[in-house]
Amino acid sequence: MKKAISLALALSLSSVLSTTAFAAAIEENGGKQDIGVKAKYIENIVTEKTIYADVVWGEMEFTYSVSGSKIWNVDEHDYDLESEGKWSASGNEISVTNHSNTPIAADVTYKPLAGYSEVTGKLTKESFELPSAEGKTYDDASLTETTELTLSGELSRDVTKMTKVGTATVTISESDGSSIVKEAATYAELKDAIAQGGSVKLTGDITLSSRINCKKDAVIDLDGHTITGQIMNNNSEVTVKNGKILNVDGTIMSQKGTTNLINCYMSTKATPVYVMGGTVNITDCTLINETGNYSLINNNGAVYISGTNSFTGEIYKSANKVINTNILAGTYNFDPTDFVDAENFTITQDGESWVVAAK
Amino acid sequence: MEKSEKQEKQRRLIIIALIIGMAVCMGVTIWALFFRNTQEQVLIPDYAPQAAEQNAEPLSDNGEKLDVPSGGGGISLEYDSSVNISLADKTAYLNYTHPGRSTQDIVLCIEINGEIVAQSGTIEPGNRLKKLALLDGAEKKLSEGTYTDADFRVLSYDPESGEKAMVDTVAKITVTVEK
Repeated sequence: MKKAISLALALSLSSVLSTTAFAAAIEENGGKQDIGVKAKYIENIVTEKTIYADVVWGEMEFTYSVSGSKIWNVDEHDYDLESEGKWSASGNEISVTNHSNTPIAADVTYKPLAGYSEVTGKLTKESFELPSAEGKTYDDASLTETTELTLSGELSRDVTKMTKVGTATVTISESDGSSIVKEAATYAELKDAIAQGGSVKLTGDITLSSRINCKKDAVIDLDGHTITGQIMNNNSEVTVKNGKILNVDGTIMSQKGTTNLINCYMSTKATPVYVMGGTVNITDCTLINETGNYSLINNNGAVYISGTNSFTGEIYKSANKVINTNILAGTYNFDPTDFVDAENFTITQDGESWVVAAK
Repeated sequence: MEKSEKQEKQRRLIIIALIIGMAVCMGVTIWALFFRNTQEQVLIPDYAPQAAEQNAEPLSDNGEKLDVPSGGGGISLEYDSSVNISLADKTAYLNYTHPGRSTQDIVLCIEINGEIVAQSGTIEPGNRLKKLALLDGAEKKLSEGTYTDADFRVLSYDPESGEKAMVDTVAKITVTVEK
């Protein structure tokens, strides 16, 4: 008991002392104590997807005009009708505009009402995708698509007033935008489009500020234009087609993935196509090494060449290593023997061309 | 003799019971095949309902009307593609806006697996809908879970004549049904 009381008194005394010492510290600072307060900013902003679209349609009035002639049938004492029906339309357009922060897909269908099943409808565009409105002006033309409804079939002669015969339905859904073909006129637009993946079409010649690295599946349609620079496939499915690629230090590099070169003209002072890995398919292409060295070096990938091809410069081959470069059916401006599977293909020289054909 | 009469009686009773049982089964089958109404179809009105949707909330939306061709029409639609349905209070919770720039009144339907489970009254441009009562009996056709074959069906009506437009708009949504 005495020990407990002694302990309690000792604790009380020590707590009073500490309070006194604390009070003494504030008194030394003139009654003020600065207490540091810290803060930091953490961002966790989730971008909500909002679908916002306009659907606009015309007056949707159609006229079925029948013209022809009645011919008297002497035998039947009646008329034979020779006629032809033709549809005309007024206000038959339906347009969809996307103002969402995500791409959308639209499907447009027509269904006749009961009683008018003989009148069928067709849309000039039944399905389309519209890109996200993000980064675009409100009236950007690429955000709108228009389709036209045409009717066919016969309409009963009893329908002499404008009568509802069917319904067009526009179905909107969120889309990943993969089938939208973006257009690129500048390096920034091209780089952006390739970074997003999907299809992109050039609207003019583009000089690259630096190498384009393809990290998502992409289709690059040069559409007759020229890229000055280098394109590398890091590990995707990439197709480059229909144009020229020019560059001093090589035009196409394959690290991994599958690269399809179709109808391309590539010219460089280095190796036009350099394959470190992955698969490269070359079809109907011209490869020019301006210094006369190798047109194609395949270090560790698989290369398949077909169609009509012209190579200035040899295809690299090694005496010590098996190179997986395969020349398939097509026409070539060089002797392809070293790369043709003689068991499955024949090679015929025709003047300055060599023709490889499947057996 | 008595025994055989008893047996005969029992046999007759069994036969009668079997005949009655067969008749009942056939009756049920005929009813199920020809008379049972498995789907109560909701008919789409040719003219806008007279009653306005009571759950519609007006917006302060004085935007310009859509530029539509003469005699035509147009609607804007803004929506969240996720909708929740509570079976307990027989209500769908959604976020659908019928912006003021639309030139048409609308009736908003929620369809699941091709069947309309909720249908609004008339909604004028410049209104938003955050909840919609299910149609009578619709809650019995639904069970807890997520329905991906679902959509908003937007029926457009001329605000002057009330006549239904020739163009419907359907927006794909996902519906989550809860108790």
